[in-house]
Amino acid sequence: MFNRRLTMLVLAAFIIAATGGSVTLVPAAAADTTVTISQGVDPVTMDPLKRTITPTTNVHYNLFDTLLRHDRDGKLIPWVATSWKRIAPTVWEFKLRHDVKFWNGDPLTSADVKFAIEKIKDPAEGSEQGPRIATVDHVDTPDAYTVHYVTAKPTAMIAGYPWEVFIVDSKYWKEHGDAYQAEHPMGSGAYIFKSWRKDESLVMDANPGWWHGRAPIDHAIWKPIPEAAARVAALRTGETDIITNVPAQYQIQLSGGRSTQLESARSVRVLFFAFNTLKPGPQQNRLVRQAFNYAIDVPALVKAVLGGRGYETATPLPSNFFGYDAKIPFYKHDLAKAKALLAQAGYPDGKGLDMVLNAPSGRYNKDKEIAEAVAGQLSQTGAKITVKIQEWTQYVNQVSNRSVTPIYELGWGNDSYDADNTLTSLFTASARLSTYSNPDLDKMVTDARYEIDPQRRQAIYSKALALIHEEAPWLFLFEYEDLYASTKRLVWQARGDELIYIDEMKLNG
Amino acid sequence: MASASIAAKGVIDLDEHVRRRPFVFVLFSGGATIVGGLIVLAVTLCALLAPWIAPHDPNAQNLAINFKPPSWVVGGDQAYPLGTDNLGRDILSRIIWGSRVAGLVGLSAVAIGGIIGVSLGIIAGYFGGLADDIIARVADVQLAFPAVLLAIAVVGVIGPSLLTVIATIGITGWVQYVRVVRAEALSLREREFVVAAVATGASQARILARHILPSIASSITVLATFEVARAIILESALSFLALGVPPGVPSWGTMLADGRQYLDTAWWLGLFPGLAISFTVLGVNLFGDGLRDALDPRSR
Repeated sequence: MFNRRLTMLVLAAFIIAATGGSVTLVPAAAADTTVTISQGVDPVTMDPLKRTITPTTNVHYNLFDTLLRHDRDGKLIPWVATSWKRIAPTVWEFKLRHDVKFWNGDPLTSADVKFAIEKIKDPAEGSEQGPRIATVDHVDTPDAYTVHYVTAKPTAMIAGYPWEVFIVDSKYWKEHGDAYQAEHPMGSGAYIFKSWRKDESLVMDANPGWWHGRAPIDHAIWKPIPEAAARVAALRTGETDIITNVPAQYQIQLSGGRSTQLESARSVRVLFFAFNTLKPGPQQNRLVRQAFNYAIDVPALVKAVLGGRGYETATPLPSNFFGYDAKIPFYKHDLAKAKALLAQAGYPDGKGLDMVLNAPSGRYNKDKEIAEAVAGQLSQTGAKITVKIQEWTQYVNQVSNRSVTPIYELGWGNDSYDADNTLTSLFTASARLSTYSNPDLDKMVTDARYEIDPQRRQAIYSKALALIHEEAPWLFLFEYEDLYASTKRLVWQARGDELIYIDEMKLNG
Repeated sequence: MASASIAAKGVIDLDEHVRRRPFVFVLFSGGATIVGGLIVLAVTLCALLAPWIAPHDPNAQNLAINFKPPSWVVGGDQAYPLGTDNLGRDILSRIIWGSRVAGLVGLSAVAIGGIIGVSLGIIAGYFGGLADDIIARVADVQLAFPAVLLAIAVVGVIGPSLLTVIATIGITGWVQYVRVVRAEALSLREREFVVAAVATGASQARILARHILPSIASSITVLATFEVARAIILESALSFLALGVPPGVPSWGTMLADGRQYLDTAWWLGLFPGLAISFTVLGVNLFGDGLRDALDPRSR
């Protein structure tokens, strides 16, 4: 801390001397504050209406505002919308603040909200965020500061994920066109986009005119570091202030470090391997999929690879989501049963099974090692399993166009605390990230979306999850416990929904 | 006086005789060469006998016993002399099996590079003319391109596999041979015995096979040993960058890359494959040095 200040002072003095200014020592408190954040990967675009990848949207959450926000405990709080309520069975009304302005001074109005929703809804856009606003039939704007989300049928959840849809400056967008937004965002958020050198650094400055009050930290730099060990090293040398996905082996050192502290939060993210059931291959056989699920020893995996920081799952949902059903049992590790199922499927002792496990490197905590360990466990059935590791950007594009096959690793987290997003995005036939198709399941997911009675809605989800468990379109693995580490000068608390709001941070000393 | 002179002459003759000792004695007259030779022999034996001498299956995982330190460290296990890695695989067995990849890549890459390089070098040096110009220019272009960069580009496009790695390293290696062979062939074709062979009406093929090739064989052999070392390092480098052999094939480079992130918590994951690479390359180089000295007429 002291060194940093001293450096700043020396630097400031030097700059003043060099520029020939009057040589007065600038008080340290006046120095700008900067926080550097290192995720494993860089954002893929600055267009906030396209992708659902967390490291990308994490950046967007600091540039753009949303109608509502979740607090740390997952409770909805007013944000740009001061209130929200159902004013008719199929109409959700949001009242907007009057003092929200985009960085260029344009006022944020109901037209901007409507524009964002329509942009995502437009099939030509091919937005991955489609499932979020699937229930919104259309948006009405009775006046400049009132928004109505009109749904086809009464919905259980607030329509349109108002805590996840970013509000963009529609005027600016129309002036510059779609392609321009990918590198020149215009938001109203806590931080103003300054510059972006891909895979190197993205710089943002505190928005002095932010309606919520200027954020305490002046500048933020997002600096991706794919290699976990390099991330840890960067934190220790003070090159960065926050690192995500801290590998388990560093827990003790970082929590006891002189200048570092460890933060953890039970994550909304589940990690799994999906079977691409849309492409031909043995993975289309349910027995093979079940056999593989029995072949995996999840508790051992979590203990060995994640240092115990994970929780086994039986279905795609984290335990704190609406729709979760604790009664569905885990696929308990049972190699004999796995082999029996494979034999029944026509692959005695795994003969004839030669499959590729696809996985990214650097995106999720220990993603590559998990893939190797899973391959090792699956090989015990006698099947030939090869691991194929790819760099994230290349990998995620294959996932997006569903060409990755037969088995691929993916993590899914969303901050809705509700089953709808996960099931819609990953299991329904029309979703871009789904490699599973089952009309019965599609119907259940749709029914649940429009079921207002929580008990009946839970019943539908229980049935849907039981079906997914039985059909096993995934190798069910675990929920992460997210591990972050930060420098001690930073005052910040990790969130379970993986969001990194810089306006929630400040520096001490 | 006369007898002394004869005696002195006798000594010289004896000396001449000693210098014509069998080649093996000449080769292993230096301690360094012996060390190098022993290392090469050990690695070769490991590679050939891997299935029999490795105590465990190199890919067998056992998550329950991961991060076991080497047997002499507290907490170590005699069954795993060099410890286990992050997935509970035996490090000694992986290193033994890794010598196969190193050896295979080293030898095949050298063979590919050697065949291409020697053929082109002889064509360029012996026949000269337009072919020489073209080959020399292409070689220049390739020389201007760092081998690792070229290898990364090729593997990046084709995708990593053992075959790609071997082919890539082989292809990046041919230039060295061309340079040496071309220069030698250029001077050899002016030598009396070659001119004599031409005069007796020997065919080109015969001249190349009987006169040129044997004369440059020693240079090629020496060069090849150094190329083996280069190939092993390049393979490790590519595997380290995740562009080498795929996961599942134990390779020293991959082990080193995987072990790196545990260097300050479980040092044995990275140390031993690192040592394996260093010692193998050192051994091959020492051996190559000895070979060069033994084959070089000036040092006889």
